Amino acid sequence: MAALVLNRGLPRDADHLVEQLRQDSGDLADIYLIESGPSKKEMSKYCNYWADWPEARKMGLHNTRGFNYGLLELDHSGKKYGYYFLITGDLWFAQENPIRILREIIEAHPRLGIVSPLSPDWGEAQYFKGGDDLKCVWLIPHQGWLVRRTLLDKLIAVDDPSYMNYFYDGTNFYGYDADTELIIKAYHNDYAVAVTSEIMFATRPDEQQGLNTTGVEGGAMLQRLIFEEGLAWMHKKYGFSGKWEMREWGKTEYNNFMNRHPEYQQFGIGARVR
Amino acid sequence: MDKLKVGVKNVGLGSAERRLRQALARRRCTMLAVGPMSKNCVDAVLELRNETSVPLTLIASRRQIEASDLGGGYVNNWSTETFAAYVRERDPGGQVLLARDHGGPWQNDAEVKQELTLAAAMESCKRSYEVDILAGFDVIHLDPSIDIHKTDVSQEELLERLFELYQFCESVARKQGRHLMYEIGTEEQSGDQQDVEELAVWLRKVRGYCAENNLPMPFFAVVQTGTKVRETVNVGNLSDPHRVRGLVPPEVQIANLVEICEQFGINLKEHNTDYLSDSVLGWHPRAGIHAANVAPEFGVAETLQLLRVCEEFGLSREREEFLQLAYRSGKWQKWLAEPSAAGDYEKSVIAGHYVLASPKFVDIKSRIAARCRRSGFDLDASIKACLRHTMRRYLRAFNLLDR
Repeated sequence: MAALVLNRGLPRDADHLVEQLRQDSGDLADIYLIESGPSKKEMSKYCNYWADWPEARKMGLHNTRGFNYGLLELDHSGKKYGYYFLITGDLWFAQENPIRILREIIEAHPRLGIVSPLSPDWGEAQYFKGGDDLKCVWLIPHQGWLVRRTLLDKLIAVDDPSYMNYFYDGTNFYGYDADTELIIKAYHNDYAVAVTSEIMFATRPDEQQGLNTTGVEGGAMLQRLIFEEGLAWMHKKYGFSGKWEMREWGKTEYNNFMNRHPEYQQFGIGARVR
Repeated sequence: MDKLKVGVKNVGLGSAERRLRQALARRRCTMLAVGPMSKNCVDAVLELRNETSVPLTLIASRRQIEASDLGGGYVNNWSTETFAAYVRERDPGGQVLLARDHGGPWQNDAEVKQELTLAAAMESCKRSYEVDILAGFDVIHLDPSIDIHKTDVSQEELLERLFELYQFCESVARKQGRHLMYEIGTEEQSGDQQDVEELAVWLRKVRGYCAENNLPMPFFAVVQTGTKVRETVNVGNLSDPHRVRGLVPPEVQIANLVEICEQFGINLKEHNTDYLSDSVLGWHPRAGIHAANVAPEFGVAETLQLLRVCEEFGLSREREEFLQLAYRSGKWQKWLAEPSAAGDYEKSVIAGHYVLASPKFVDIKSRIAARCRRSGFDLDASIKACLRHTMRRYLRAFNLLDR
């Protein structure tokens, strides 16, 4: 198992996360720190791979290109793992042993392709009020995803792989709904995406620039830029005029998966009439 | 509360309900329900219905249209009786449905100003409903969510009031041999989506009550989908492009709410749909939202057209008088955002439609219309064309038009 921690200019947070993961799960997973192209003074002391080409240095790599880069570097190095924990470096965990617990969950459910911890800031927390600890969803931001290798193999670019296309579509720089696209692909390839309340993201003690735990970064202007870029991307790629079509597609694939695998309906979201 | 007597004539599905069900079954669409903001607005709906054959509904609040013995409403000085007669004269086939929007205690200004007790307000709103039914309204919205004496009314108490009104209306309808469609749901203007479990629990109770008391199930449930109108913008979280802290994204929550409604065999209705983008509106039929109410946007559209005409014809005096009249009405207050950057002009635009039936505005308008006529320009025709154009945006987005 590998954990890829993506640092984007928050070295203290990234260092803390790497240390926490090594302490908890160093025996279970190899921890890699991917630097998304910052200056040397913003780098984590645990850097394994540094995106140091000029464009990366200038603009940094957001999630889409950053995780592509890290996964590709690992694969090129010949190291293959059964599971990959792809996590942004500014996150903290409320519980110990997040990797161990997430791995137990994904191993217990063979059709789970992606498992994410739950954020206390997400409305999805309401799904767990009744005591459930695992819910299959079709819309969740990528902040820390445990991904099964067999799903990865179905989705990675085979022809001319690069940091632009290996797992995520890197043409969507800021990544608005790029994670939704991956979820759609997962369900389409017969893998579910789930959230678990057994592991929670924690609120950082100090506010730094970067993703807050809702998964939305930056102030109003940056958010607008992220949204507009995402809209342009989904329009160009799919002919969608808004986020609604993308989300509707996700729901359709989710429903189809549930029809194919009724044993997973118990993990579905939404109330049932009794 | 006595059960309605078994053996009362079962009137079966009325033609209005049959038409609505057929329209919803024919294609995945969202029905448009229009607030009768003015005579021109009502005429525009009638004309649009003739042009397109799309089923349309007029949703009259008690402030807009009210029984004559309860003081009538502000729209065109119509009472419920004269409003219904006006529409039916021009639509004898009943193709345009008449609906009561937010009927219930303290849902008109008089009941609030008089500080009626609950019992008195319930009797007053029952009288309002009775007149609706006698006048031929097709859809009745039972909304006992307002209480001017208590801020914290329990769900049980709300249900009790709902069921009392339900029994009453159905009793009146059966005596008249009428078939009604019921709309239920409280109006919460938080701008967020309704909780799924809460909706399921509530619908379960309604279903149980209807079954026990031989009442028809509601046709519509008003569900809070994340819409909220402030000034001339929809500020609910439905339009938010990004995830909002503490909320499930609307496209996920609404899908769950739709599923719950469908499991109960009830159609989901959205209120306060005004000012949403084409993209969001286009998603409505795909999401399974069965119907949507739009009102103040049409009132504002008429006001803006009037102002445009004044500018075009150099009628600065009439323009200023209209703006001042609208501003002084104070009707813009309930629509203001917090904080608001709206100036006097914006406030006047928000409130313009409230004064269209006032004697002062009738005089202003007659001068505008006279000036227009001298140039061969029909003022009301231009307003209706503008309103039809605004309504067509919804018809297109809601998949109600053949392409």
